[in-house]
Amino acid sequence: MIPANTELDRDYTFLTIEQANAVTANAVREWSDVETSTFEMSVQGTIFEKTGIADVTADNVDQIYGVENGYGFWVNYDTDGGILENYFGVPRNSVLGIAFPEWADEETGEIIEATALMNGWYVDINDTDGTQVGGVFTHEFGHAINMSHSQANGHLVYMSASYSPQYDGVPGCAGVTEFTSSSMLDFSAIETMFPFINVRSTAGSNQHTINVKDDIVNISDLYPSEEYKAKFGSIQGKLFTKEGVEYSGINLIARNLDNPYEDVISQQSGNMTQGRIGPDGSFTINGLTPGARYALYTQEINAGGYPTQQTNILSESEYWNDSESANPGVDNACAMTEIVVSAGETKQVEMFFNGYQDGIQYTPLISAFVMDHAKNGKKALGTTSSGIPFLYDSATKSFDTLVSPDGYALLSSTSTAMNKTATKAAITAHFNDNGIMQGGVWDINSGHVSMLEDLTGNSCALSSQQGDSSNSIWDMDDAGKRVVGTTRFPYDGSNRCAEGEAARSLGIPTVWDVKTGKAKLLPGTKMVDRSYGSGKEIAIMNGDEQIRRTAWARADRISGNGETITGSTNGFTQIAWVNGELVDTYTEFGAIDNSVISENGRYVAFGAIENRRPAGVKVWDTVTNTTQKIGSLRWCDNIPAISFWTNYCDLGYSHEELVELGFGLPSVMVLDANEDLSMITGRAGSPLSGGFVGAIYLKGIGWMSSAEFFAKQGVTEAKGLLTDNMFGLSADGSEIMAGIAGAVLSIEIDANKAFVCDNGRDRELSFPKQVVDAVSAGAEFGRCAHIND
Amino acid sequence: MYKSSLITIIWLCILSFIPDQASAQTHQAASSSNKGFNVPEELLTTWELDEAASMEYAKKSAHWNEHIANLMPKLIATNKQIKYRFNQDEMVTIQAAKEHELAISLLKQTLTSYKFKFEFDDKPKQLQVIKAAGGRINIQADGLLGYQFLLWKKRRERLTGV
Repeated sequence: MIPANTELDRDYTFLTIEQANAVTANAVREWSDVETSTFEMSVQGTIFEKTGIADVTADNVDQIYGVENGYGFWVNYDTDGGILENYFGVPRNSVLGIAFPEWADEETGEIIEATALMNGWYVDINDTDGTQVGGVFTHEFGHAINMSHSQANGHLVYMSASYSPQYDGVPGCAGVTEFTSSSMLDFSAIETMFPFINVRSTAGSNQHTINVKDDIVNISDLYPSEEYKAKFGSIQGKLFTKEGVEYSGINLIARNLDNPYEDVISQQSGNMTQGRIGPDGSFTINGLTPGARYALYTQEINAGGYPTQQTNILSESEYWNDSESANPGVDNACAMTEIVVSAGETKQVEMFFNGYQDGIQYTPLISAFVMDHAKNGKKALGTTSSGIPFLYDSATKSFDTLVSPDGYALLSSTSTAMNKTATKAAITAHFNDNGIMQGGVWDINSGHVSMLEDLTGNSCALSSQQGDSSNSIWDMDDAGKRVVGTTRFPYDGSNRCAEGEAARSLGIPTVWDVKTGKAKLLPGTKMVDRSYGSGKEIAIMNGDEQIRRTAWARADRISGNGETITGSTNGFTQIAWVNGELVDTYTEFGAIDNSVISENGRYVAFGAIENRRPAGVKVWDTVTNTTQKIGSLRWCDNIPAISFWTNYCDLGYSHEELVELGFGLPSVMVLDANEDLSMITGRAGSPLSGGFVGAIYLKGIGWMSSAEFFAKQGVTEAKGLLTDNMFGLSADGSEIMAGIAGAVLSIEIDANKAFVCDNGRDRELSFPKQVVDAVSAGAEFGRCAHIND
Repeated sequence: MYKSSLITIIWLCILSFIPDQASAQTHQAASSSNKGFNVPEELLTTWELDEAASMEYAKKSAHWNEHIANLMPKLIATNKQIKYRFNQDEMVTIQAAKEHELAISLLKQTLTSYKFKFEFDDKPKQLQVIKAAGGRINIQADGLLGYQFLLWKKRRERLTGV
């Protein structure tokens, strides 16, 4: 096995011209032998015979491309990948071939000349007769005669893994196989026009042949024989959003239930117009075997270039059925009606993405990375995936891109925070040309940016993905009067880092007065020599007494009224400042991970540990200095119990047993809360323990996973893009900004209204207060049709 | 007849190589930032569950109650499938023929225990090995289910008395 992207010390001539010609002839024959297509192609000679060019290279290939060379299809063997690299500018280790129609008759649309370039550099060292690379030839020739990519079975082989299962139907429905390994499907079922191929295995040789119905229908649709339409059946339909707008870019698959991998046909919605005339959800699937039973379902296209932009499933994949509707209460995604057509018959269908238009609305904002959601719930601040700052207005659903008239590099930090009314934002910015950012406040309306004081003269710096900064800026109070973060101080105890020594510094928790810009160090932390090695660390102090030591400390959250501040030490344990005094909430209450604070600063909620065991979430009353335990999610019901590589849920342990045996309650990192902490969001789990799980606490109801919360409310849109990161709650909790860990994607959740099921009847109520009150009075949380989801 | 060049509307026809995925598997790597403090000699072997000793040890635990008594057979059955091997700077969990390495470094040692540090899920954690009677050990760490009730013995050694 030759690893990918490894330079090979060879002369790149594993295939002779004769062998390559033989592979070409086979590929030509495969496409020409399709019975239901009139397409015929035969080898007529060599490039040398037609043009006199003995060896096509990057230096003379422009005599082939962009030039009419006469009718036909020109196949170029790029033996060492030099043409790819030097003419097309494509690295030879990333592409196996390029092909396209080159000239066409404007009146008839007939392709006159087409071309394909085959990358000889990628021929495997063991593929001495070109059998494995043959799939590339047939695939590229398909493009040359106007076929696009296709996804019918290929994803089951090439994209299936235990961490990325693939399905031959709607995931989770009866009779659907979950593919977790490439070996689970016979390679002969891979369609030739799938965008990927492995030329290091027999998968490649299997893509050489046109045996899967998907490929046969593709070429027959373009070059149909007279009897093609008459001998087979068709499905014609449109795909709509829940609002009834046509939707393009989704794969529609018709799979023969009795011959599922050979007789399968896919088509992309809107592929005939490719998005050029507005929303187009139409699709036509031809070539159905008369009398056969087909399942028709929606599926996202995983990857690969397509002329029609592939799009996301808006709610959930689903089967077509007789009750097709946008209403998830009526149209179960797993309910499938078999489609049986006779020869020449066309079955007309309509498909709708499931989703309610009332209750909680769940809207992905693609490629938008929201950093903060104002407590008024109306505005969100963030950057696009290309780094352009924006302000999102949830009332108008519009994005305003933001440019500072002062020319500062704004929003360089991912910890930008706004005041309640979204008129000010605490940021880091470059105020001079020394390459080190410092804290500032951005007046969003005027665009003016004012500097926050740096007690070490913007001389020290921490390097991060966002650049070097002498301050870290984390939060701002509701009125926009106070900002919290850190100021970096030099190891030598002076007030300025020496030139070139900016990194020999450590952050000290700081609060700024926005009006004056003045910085004030928060009490209770002290820079001390490390216990081992060189450098400095932070000591948490009670007066002159050291309580504990930590690698670093910061202030990262401030209450709405600006009175209470919390912070993190070493990213794990918590501290707080109440009435200007430090409280080591980790030592006193076991506070870990993160904290959220009520608007009035009295209550602070955090994840906690007791006797080294996770103890769920606690709410600390800073006035009485007492805590109340408010619980957590449940092992196995909400979150997998995977630890030290063992999945204890799979071994039959229950939540209670796991708690009893020492797991404690699932640890929830609190993310945000409404003003009185009656609603708290959080996240549990980790990539190493089965993934993240979003969590929601509603006082009076308790904890739910985000999956349970949205499922019970019938929010099908959350099934495909389930948030595990609800980081931005409005003051009353009804407006939520959310994300998915690791994805450049934000989700706007309008939860002004939600449902309870009251004596078997749905009631739409204000959320969260009326919903919680109704549940406390005996109603069930969620829509009646989804209570058990 | 008019002809038009289609070269500007190139099909998106690039094929990508898919590397062999046969060796892909989840690997829970952990790291230690404090190399140089090695695992003590007496731990450098493979440890397996001592069922009988664990039952006796659990009965003496402050957490022992009726629930734990009922759960012990299940806990023992689970942990019988697991072995731990200490190497110079790592603890290896051996389970169903799979091995998972956890980098550890010694923080502190006393006559009766060793304390190691490690990172898991990017968080600092501690692992404590407490010496028990008959050369057995008790391994304690967050996330080790039922650790306070279990004793481990050197593999294939006959031991006496708890």
